[in-house]
Amino acid sequence: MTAPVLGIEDLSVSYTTPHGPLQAVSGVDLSVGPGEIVGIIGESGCGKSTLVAAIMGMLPGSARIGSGAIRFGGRDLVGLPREEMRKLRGGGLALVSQNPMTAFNPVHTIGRQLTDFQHREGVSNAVKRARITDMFDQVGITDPSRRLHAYPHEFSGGMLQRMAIAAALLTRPQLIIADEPTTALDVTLEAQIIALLRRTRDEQGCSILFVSHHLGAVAQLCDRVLVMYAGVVVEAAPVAELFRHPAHPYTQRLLACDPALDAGGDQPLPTIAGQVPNLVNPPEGCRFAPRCLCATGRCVRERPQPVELAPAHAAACHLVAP
Amino acid sequence: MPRFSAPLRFLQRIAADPAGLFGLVVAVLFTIVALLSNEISPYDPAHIAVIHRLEGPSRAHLLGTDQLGRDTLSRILVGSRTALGVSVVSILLAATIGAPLGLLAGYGPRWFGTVLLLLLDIVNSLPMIMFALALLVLVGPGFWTVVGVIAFFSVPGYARLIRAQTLSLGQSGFILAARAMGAGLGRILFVHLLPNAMGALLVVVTMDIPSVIGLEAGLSFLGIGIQPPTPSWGSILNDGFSFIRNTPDLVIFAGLPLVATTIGFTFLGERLRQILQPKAAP
Repeated sequence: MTAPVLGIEDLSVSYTTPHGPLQAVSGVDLSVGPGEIVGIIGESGCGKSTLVAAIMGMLPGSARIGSGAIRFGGRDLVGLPREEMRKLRGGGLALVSQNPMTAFNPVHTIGRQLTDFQHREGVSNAVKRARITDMFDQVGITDPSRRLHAYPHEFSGGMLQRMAIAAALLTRPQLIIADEPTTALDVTLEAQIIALLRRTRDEQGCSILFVSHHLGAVAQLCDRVLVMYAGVVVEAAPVAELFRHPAHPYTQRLLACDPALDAGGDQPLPTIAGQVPNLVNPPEGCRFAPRCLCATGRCVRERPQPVELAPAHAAACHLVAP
Repeated sequence: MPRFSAPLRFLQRIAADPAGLFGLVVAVLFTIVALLSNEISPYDPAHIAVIHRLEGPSRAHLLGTDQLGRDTLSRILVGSRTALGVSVVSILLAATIGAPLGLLAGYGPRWFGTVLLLLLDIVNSLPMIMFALALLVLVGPGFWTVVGVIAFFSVPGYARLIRAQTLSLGQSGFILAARAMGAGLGRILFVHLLPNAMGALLVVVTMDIPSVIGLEAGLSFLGIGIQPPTPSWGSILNDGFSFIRNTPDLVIFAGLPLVATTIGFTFLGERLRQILQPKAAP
């Protein structure tokens, strides 16, 4: 097995709050192999965005990395000097953000911004523009020379997200982190962007970390999926395996809640009652226990460790048997 | 093509509103007169002819003469040059110093913002006239003293304005995106944040021109501003003030352009605010 592009080991991130430290991410392990697309799903507030910010070295000042390592390109990003970290952003690591409508500066033309994003390349502006035109071609933007002179507000959300992906590709990334890249787009565009991300991986060979709360998108795009709940990874599995044999009760119920996968006909759509626990004082045992229908006394007391159920399929639950 | 037509369209939008049109006309007229004042003034503004002192308007002296027989029209025309010079230079200076400070205070390290706000509060608490008098004693009066005093007291306004803009822009998606692309502090401040604050800056600069002209006139009126023989609207007012009982023309004629530019630039600024910051308009 080749060395992973990104390897996160036992990462914990907490935020300082007036009520005490908030454990946003606790002991997360994650690896993304070369050319692999790994998905992270979970509901809002489960630590996805904190994880992304930690990888990018863009955690807010109130956040502390308590323990763990983030290995990328042979280095540990935790404790990397600020300036070194900055060089990795847009130089190996690229981020495609959630809302394409705000991802570009409204006062500069698209061409100016995409040229600016290549500030690391020691080439002339003409060469940079030629590269942009190439990239536009790859992400399916027609008439590139005219687009370069247009401002962000002249484009639709789908076009802007394509441009954001083109911008990410311009930096020749080894890893693209796509943080809910389709959330702000409508369904037809979502399918297009997902197809584009897959093609990007196939053609450029870069790895993608795809963060989403949309199960359908994850199912279509990813090779492997991690399910996060309340700052911990509760289940990790190859995508087909996860959707066919979800092991963790949270995963099972998350899948049941997806309207697209709902086969219940006129039955009301199931929901998971309750809320993500307060992470200032997280439950002592399994974090899902308060909302779990099959929780036992052990679940409340003892924190479950990941159990390997099948090759590359692990779930952190006391109730699953290997 | 769009490069050329965009400024033109912008001017059209300003002029679409009567107040905006008035402001624009005043601003353009003021600038042209100030730049060409030496060429268009009928007499040398410093030429003294005591025989003709304090004359009323006549064919030879359209706005009359002052207590030394100098042509009032020429002095007002050349005075506009002083007003424009002082306001442009001191505002440019204040904005050039204030904008980077504000950017850094709004986006840079938190301690910097705190320290800067404290310093700005100290500047704001100083009495300007006293400060001007002290500086006058130290370095002597003159154009640069006036510019220095006005710029010094204008910096806090600009720094605060840019800081406020920066604070609200700092969390926007494109700043995050730029950071994720590895943009450094300088690039974020000057390529991404400053251009987005330019609209607000332009509005305030426009609104500031009349107040700076007023300040200069005020300092010159008190005799601690622009020194004779250089004409300034404030010093003409001061001259006229001494003779207001028998010859009120001087005060009226020097006061009119002061009032006109103040109203004009204020209208223009108000119109710019409507166009550039539709959300901030009342």
